[in-house]
Amino acid sequence: MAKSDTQQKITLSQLAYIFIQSQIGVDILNLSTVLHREVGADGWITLLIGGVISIFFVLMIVHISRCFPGEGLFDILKSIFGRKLGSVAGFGYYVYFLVVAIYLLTSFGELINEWLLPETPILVLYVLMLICALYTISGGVTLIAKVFTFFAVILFLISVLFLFGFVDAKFIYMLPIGQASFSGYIEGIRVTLYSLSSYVLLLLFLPYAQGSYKKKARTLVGANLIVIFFYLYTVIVSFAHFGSDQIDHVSQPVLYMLRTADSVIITRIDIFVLSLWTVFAMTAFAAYLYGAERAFAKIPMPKKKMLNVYTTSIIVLAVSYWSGLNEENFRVVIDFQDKITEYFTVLIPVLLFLLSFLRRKDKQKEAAQ
Amino acid sequence: MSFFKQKKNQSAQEKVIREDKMPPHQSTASLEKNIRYIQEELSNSTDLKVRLLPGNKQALVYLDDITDPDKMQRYIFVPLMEMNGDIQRIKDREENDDLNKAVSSLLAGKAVYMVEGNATFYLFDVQQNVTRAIMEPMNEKVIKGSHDGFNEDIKQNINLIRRRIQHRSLTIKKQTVGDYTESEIALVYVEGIVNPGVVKELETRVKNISSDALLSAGAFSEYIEDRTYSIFPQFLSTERPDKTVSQLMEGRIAILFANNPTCLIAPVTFYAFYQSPDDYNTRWLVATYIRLIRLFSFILAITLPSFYIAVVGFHFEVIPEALISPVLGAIRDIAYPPIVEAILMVIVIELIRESGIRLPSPIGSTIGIVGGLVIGDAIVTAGLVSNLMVIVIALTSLASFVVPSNEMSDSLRILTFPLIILSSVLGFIGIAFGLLMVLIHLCRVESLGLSYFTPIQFRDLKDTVIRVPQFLMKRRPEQLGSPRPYKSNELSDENGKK
Repeated sequence: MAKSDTQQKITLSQLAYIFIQSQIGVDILNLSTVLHREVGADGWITLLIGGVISIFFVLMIVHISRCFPGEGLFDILKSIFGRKLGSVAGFGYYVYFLVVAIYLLTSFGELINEWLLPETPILVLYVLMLICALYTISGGVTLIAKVFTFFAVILFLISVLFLFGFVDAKFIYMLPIGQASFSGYIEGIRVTLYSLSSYVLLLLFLPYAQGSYKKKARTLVGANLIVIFFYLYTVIVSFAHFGSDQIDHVSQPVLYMLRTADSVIITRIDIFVLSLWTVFAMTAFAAYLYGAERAFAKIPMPKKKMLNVYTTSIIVLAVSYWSGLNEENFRVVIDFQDKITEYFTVLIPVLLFLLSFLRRKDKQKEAAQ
Repeated sequence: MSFFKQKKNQSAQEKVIREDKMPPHQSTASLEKNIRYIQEELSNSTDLKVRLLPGNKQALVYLDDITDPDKMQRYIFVPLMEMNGDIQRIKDREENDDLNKAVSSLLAGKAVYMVEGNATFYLFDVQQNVTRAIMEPMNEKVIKGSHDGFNEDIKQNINLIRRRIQHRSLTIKKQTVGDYTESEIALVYVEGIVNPGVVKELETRVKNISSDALLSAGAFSEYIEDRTYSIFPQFLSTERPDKTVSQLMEGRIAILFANNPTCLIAPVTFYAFYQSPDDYNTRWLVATYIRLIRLFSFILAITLPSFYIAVVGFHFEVIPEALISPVLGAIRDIAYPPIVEAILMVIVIELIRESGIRLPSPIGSTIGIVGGLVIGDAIVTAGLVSNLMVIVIALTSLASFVVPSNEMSDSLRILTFPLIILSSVLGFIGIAFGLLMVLIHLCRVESLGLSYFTPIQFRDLKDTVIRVPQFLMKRRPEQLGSPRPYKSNELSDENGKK
């Protein structure tokens, strides 16, 4: 039985794990290729720069949450933008979370279809994923926290398996540095920032976390650093393994890298990594689905909680099915996501950050006391 | 719940009043009337004996089968002779004038002494104790350590615990459950170590049990556990006093039952089912090694068949080159798909196990030999099941029996089925989803409101996955929220640093 909202509490380390798990989604498998296409061998530098910028965003998010104690994302939106505009922004976030969830689900299905189960109807995978995610979010924040914390072990396991990539690695491929154009850098940073963009979700979880804001900020920056280093590790391994000529043509470099690796006990480590990665896909998907479900709950119309969840999941399932039908539909979803991501992960957070100085509530409360 | 709506014109059922809540029935001065009332209330049972003493002015009433004639002689008749027949001068007696109280006392094994012309009657405790000798529990044997075990007498069980914890804060709260059976249960905990909120929660849950009979510890846990639909046991059951005491000292609550040697322990975590008293009696490195083996066996028990099926059916490329031809050779001539093989083999093993349980041990071992050797060999030669599958399933069932707790091992064996089905449909991804569901479920289960499956954190590792030396285990488990978080008066943290 899910406890009521006010009773739910999560610890700082759980908050960190939630952050880590929601950030590592589909992108670990193809980030290297995307970065290399944009920036060339300098991809890992833009990753570092983008990572530093994302830390600033995390700090901004913590500040926003600090200004509105006890309020989640949608309450904050209303507090800052006013009732009507806040609702519109809330609906916008609903759409955004939905689109990200759909993107995650579809790319998961595509990938599994391509690598492991070419004959299986993709809908089966969607439904299984959805069941797992719904089961996770139906327990509320505490269950999400516990599940995400538990599956952090997978991060360690995958990191160890990636070591196989170093077998044929040539670090000379990382050179020369500084060849990319300025616009290439900007593009690389943008890509990095988008793949680290789940800091928006933090606004949903921060009110439940225990501890001072200083500690929260420290924990989250630490978590963000872990993710950045994990990405960096992945990118460097795949750059060093493939080299500039090959990597542009490989869509999931990490998996190809492990495909050729040979261990004594088992061959084809990529299959194991893909199965383990299912967990990351699930946690990231569940996090965004939770965001969408929360957003839907704030739309005052339906009162029944389960109805929210079902409506949201049916929308996700339907659109994912549609976008999984062919390449063009999937393109549409990705393009749409690209278009709106900027607004919801960069512009609105910055706007919230700036406005939070004006409308902050924590100081008012102190003044009232 | 509207699906199970009760019919409107359902005949009303008469409410049963528990013996301890019977309204008082004043006894009269007439001996005959009193006796007749008792006889009627007990439906003229034949074992109700009314012994009229010479002169027909005094009578001793008792239930023949649950009283001890020796005790009656010693506690009633001998003193009576010494006091020249004056019952009021015997010191060791209870007085009452409520006849319903007399009936319930009779049922508890007391004798009622009544005197004509006096509404007051006297109660003597002459209950016959039927106990089994203290023996080591059959299903929880240890190599080293104490070899005593609980038996059916709740008093003796409490005795075994009290002897081990000689401190005034050991608290025993007795309650009765079941309107007809009035089975006695005892909540045992150490005040000051146990989390008072958990005790309160357990007490309210016990109070809310409404049933005619409490038949077993398993039924009891179904009444009060957090998730009845879960496949995992949420109460640890044991018959070992040493195990019970070590759990009590961690800050958990033990529930003892009258007429049942099982003791339930709550709240527990998943890892408690993988601990055995032996672990604390051997070198810590050895204990750690054995713990790791047990945990590995958990993973093996639920995933090995599905892993094999997924490899054979979907991911043949996972097998190293040198192994491919032996594997192919083994499965090529088998008529059935791997899932049928697996289920067939699992059922064979379950049949052998179930048929062996209730038979006397000489026949039981014969069954094992017939089942294991003869069927196992013949089923491969007949080409029904590949020899690899026999190895896989045999290993799986071995792994499931490694668990020290019987219930957990049963749960594990059932869990293999959904994973077998998922893996035969979706390969490794099916296993991944199946395990995801199991683990999410484990995270969701609670035992008495406290989390059951705490994710592994460094601090919790010390007595769960591994066992570190005693001097490093200074804290009680965090999960319990004990008011006394350290295990000794010295408050130092685990690294020896303050």
